[in-house]
Amino acid sequence: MGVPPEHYAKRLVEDGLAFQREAEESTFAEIMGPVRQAAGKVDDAEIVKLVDKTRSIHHGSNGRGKMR
Amino acid sequence: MPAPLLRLVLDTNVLLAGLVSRTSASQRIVDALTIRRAIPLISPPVLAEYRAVLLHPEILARFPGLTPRRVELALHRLRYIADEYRTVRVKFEFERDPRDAMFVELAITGSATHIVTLDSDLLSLPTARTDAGKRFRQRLPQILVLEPGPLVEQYGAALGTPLA
Repeated sequence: MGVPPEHYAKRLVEDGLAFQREAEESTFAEIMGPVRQAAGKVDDAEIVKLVDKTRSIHHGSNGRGKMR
Repeated sequence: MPAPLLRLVLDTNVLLAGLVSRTSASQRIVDALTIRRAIPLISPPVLAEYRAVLLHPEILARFPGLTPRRVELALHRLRYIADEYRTVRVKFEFERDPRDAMFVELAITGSATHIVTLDSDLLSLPTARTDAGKRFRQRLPQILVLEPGPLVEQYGAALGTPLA
């Protein structure tokens, strides 16, 4: 029943290699094309605000953050 | 004369702006990386922050089409073209925003020519009259900390992406 473990492992490796190959052969413009089209004009101030908020979450509530 | 080799540490805000915007200085810089006109430097903590921010639900919700798969593809592409420093032994204390210290530490380790950022604390660091500012100038006397716009203005031709 199901996929034998060795076949599953082989498929995982092949998928990983295919993904890596796709990354190596694609430009950022190709990878992000649909996102750029949908985003329209992006304001740097908005980016700074978004990143500051999300990186605070990444770095956790350990007191590390901007000193105001 | 060969174009100057730019070794760039990109703040997370510049990477995000460069990936998601269609026409911006950040986008020109990120696209120039693809054609090897500049080398991005990365380290494990910097890569971890890139991944955490780009995959954050608020970021994914803001930019339609930005899927986890697309983010991972972009990060794999970045690792493929970057100079990756797996171990960064340098320590730089940056009281103003300790989260930014990893960018300075990477710049020191990887002999960066530029830190590219939209962050006012990092931008003011080279001229700051603080202890951190003095230590920064001692450790990185040649480096320039620039916003994406001025970098493209100065090095647009070298990046293969002159301003329109």
